[in-house]
Amino acid sequence: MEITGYKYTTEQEAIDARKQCADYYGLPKSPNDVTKYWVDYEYAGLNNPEFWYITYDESILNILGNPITFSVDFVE
Amino acid sequence: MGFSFNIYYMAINYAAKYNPSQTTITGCTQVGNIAVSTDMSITNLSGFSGGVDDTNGYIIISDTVNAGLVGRSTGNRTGTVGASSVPTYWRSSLKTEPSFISLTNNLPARRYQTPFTSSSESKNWLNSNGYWTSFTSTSSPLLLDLYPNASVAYSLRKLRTAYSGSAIRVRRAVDNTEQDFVFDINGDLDVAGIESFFGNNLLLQSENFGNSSWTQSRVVITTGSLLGPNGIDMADKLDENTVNGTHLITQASGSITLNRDYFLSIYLRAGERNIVDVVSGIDGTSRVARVNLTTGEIVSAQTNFINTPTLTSAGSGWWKFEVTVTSAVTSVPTGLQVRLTNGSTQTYTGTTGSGCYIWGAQISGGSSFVPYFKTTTSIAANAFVGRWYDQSENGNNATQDTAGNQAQIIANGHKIIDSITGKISTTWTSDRYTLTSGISPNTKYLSIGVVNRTSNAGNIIQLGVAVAIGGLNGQQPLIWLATTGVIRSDMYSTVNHHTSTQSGAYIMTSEKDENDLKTAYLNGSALPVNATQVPGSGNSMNSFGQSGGNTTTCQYAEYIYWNSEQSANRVAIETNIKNYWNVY
Repeated sequence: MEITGYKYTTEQEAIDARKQCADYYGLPKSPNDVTKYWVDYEYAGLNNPEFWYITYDESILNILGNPITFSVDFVE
Repeated sequence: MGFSFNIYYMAINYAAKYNPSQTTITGCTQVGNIAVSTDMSITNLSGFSGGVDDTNGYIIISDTVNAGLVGRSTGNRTGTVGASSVPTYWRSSLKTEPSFISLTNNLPARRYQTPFTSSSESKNWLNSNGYWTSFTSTSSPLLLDLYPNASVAYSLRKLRTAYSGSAIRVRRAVDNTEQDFVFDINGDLDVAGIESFFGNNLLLQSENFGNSSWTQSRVVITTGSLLGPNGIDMADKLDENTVNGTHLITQASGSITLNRDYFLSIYLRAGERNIVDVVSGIDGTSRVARVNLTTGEIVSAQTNFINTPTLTSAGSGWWKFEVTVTSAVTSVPTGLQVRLTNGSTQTYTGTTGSGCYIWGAQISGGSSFVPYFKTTTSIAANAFVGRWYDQSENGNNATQDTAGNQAQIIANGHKIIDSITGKISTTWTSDRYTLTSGISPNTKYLSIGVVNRTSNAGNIIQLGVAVAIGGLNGQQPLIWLATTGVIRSDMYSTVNHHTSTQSGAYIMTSEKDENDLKTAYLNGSALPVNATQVPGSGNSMNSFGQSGGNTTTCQYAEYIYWNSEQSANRVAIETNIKNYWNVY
């Protein structure tokens, strides 16, 4: 499946990008809030080589820049 | 041990309405001269000796016996029903076991008797004296009262009488503040509370009329000109310029939902100009209300809103303008406009320094006017579900810690309504939740969700595992696949129960019965293909709305999973769900 978003070769890079977005939106707002992140990353474990990615959303364009398009393998 | 006689208490809901013309309290069954109920509605508590009090308590009612409680009260409350001057009901001071015991000990018939020391003594005495034995609640038992022992139960309605926790955790989008919401006295979600919480203002920069969110036409905005009506924030002054024409500020409506009520309001105060027009096009026609900021009058001859606008004094010369408009468009350039006049016409050559003061503009959705909510760079019109609280006895909540993956419950200022059932729902867009504890599926189970497949663009999933196992998405009682419409279950091996691409509202059921037969149902009708497959061990279902890489896109109102044999109950359970949610 073609995905538009942000692709990372290590999980740590994806974690860092996720934190960038959360920080931009001031999350979590309170320590006891359930909402910790603005967007989450996904694991493309069936791809070779594996990678991690964040799906594009208009709300993160100013934070992560222009997205790219890439292919992710899924189990039915 | 906690006190468990839940049918004997009621929560006094401050939002409910007490009808003085009633001779009995709604929802209360009276047996002999005492009765109790779980679902009474009282707000007029002036009869209580302690005055208005909206805290919880156990209620006991008598319609014939003088209370006699005065002088013996240990903090309990007394009051009257209807116009009676005789105290006819009592409420314990707290919803606790000691408070219930105290209430019983202070009943007239318990005068001069040895006080009870336990709730069981109190209950037994009430039973043996004819007060409780024949009592039946006027409300029907809830679904999990009748069919208990669910593993998880997430819903926008109350499912178990004894459940006293929250329904959902809501995150309002305007500033990401979160709050838990409970069920109201009728067992429905406290929508009114959510409507007040999420802010509810579709206008940007509600106090900053010189901002580019507002269009200024032939006017000069002076910020901080006067203290606003809240006595804290400063108001702007709207002055006309010297160009001939109309002199106004306008903001577009933003996205609105068709055929829903919107509530417009703005604070105005006379300056050099005291005759002002408030304009909106939300109902598809340019509506005008001409107001006199000196007299507080609506100039009816030059007002054409369908509903009557009001102008209410807000103190210090300020007036609050309010009007309700039913939307006929999904957006409109003139959501709210304030237009100066020279007293007779809105098109004229202005005079420098002539205008009025403005503050606190608001367009809100919901069911009624809500308190003013200030906005700056974001509208306050949307809210999302961060957590579904488990109403089973297992505390297995479903939580989503990422804002972008949370289902929506308020959109464009209004609660999400399933267009088919007419009931409240939540909109899922590739959303999912993580369970506190994974559930290892039994060989027999019942899994039921109330969904609206609004399109074929996404999957609908009940429970599942977040990581694919053995080339499949592991264990999931039911998944309705995007695009193809295949309805499938994967309990360690795949079964395609049916191919269907139809959209609409459904009760979506998966059952493994006493004969080990696995069957999927839509609205109570079995799908053509069934199987006898056994769930794999050790692969716990840990997600609500997710399996492997798949997520849910639909509207979801309720989901319940029994990890036990329920085939004898399935039809009755589906009927209960159907009757509440009006699914088909």
